[in-house]
Amino acid sequence: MSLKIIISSNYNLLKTHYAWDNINSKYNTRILDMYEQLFSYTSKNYNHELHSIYFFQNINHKKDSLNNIKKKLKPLIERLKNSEKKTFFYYSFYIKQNLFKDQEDCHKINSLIISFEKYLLQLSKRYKLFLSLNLDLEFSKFGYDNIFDKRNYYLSKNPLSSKGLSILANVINRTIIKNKFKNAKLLILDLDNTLWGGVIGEDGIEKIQLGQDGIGEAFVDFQKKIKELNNKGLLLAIASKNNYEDAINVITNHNSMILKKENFAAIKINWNEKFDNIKAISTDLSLGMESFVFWDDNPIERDKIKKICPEVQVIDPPEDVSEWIDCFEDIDFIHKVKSTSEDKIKSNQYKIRAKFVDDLKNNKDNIDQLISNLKIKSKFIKINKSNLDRSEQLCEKTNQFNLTTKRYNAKQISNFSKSKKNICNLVSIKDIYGDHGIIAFYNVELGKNSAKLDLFLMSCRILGRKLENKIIDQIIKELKKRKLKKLYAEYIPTNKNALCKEFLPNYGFQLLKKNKNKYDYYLNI
Amino acid sequence: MKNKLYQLLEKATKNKKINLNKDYKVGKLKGWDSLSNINFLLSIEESFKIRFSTNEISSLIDTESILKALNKKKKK
Repeated sequence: MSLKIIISSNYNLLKTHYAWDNINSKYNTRILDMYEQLFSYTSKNYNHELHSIYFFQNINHKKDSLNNIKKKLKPLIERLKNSEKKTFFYYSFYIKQNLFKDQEDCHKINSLIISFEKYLLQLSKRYKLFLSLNLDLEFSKFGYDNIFDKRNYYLSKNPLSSKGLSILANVINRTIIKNKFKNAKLLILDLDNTLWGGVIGEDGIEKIQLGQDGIGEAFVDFQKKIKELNNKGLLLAIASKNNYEDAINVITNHNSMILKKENFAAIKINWNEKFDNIKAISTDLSLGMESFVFWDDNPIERDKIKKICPEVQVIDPPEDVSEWIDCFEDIDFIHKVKSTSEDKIKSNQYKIRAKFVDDLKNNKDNIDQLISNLKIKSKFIKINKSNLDRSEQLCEKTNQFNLTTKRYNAKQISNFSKSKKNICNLVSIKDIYGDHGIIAFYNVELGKNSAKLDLFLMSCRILGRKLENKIIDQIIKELKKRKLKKLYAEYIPTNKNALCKEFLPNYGFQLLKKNKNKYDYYLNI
Repeated sequence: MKNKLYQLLEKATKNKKINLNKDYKVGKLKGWDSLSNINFLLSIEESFKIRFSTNEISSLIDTESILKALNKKKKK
């Protein structure tokens, strides 16, 4: 379901104004005519975000007090606090400039605003669904004269100028993105004209721009900035169309390179399409593409990624490299990376894991040895209150390794776990990469003489360990104890689970019946 | 200039059947009401880097007068 954006304000937002084009083109947007309409969207049942903009016009410390303002906001707050939806509350004060001529007035009005902001902050903390955002901070970058327009106010009850409206739309756009991309984990970088100036394949290592005065210095600074975040736990990857040897030579041997080979969790330097490389990185590192940020100077490459991997957050950097650091610093969700020692360990784990995947590809014959080196410890867990949510989540989200793709809810799962006619378990594993937590789930229906594998799914991030075989082994052990003779299983193809198509026959299941949308198998125990 | 103006009108009114040889008026063209007129005039301001006064805006309600005002401002 696509995200719906609801925008409302106590003033007219000129909803057909071009400032909204960007948001309109990306999301299903609705700009409300009346502020009050907002409250009809506060129920949990819809998939949408609420953005509410409140302008305080002509605040005057001589007639306004905090209580006064609170009173104005009270009906609004009363209703928002009952909201089941997170609401972004943007506010701006438009104050007559002449009030600032007198130092005392200026001081009084500022303290009024500060006390009001304190009040909002308290509210935000109390009602977790309510987030207040100071628009004036953004507006101040451009100056009040540019942001507000008295004429527009008289004409259309919109206090902002065209510029002001564009900035408001930008702020909202950024909030949407920030909210959507909670944690960027991996920054994917191009090489030519991104980490250095020029094209290595044409210019050669002596002639690329890196470290020299001018633009060469800007590339070094950009790399430094990235390195900073890498130290904080942001993972890095390269996706570049180049000859591997040429490019890796620069990375290892150029004196001004700040980022070294070991800073990258994945390196894809080849002539494949970048979207294929990005998909491969996602599999290698077992990271969802929604945590990826893509930085490339080439708009054609960016457009391809936007189209083919819409989950990836694609940055459109300014043309001038000297502006890149500012642009980079403006990307809020990159800077959300928290520096914990665990992250650093993880970053290391990702590298080992990438190596594991590579090794898997290169040593097809010796997979068993590789897997035994992982020292996998699996645990079969009964379903209880503490892991019911995780069970439901697995059921909802697992697409690739999922034989039947049945989407059970928590209540159904809880019933299975209590029933004597089912064996319904979760599986967690640990190996040398760390604790992966609960990653598999199955439900077996028990009959008199036979049993049926009703559901079997595994999170794709731990694939490649042959854990699936181990789980079936365990199920069979259980069935033997109960003296059952046969295990039936089915594979229901979807457009996402081709991955596990061969799993049942490879394990040794016999095909019973095959039609278009279902393959029936059985196994003699 | 007229070309660009009509393009902006098309966009502001979301009307695809605008004929360069015709004159239009607020209220007489589908999608062109007083609200979209404000947006239309604001987009003209942005594109041509000019500014209409409050007074002017209230009289700019058809393509002819807008074009006239635009020409006058651009000549200055």
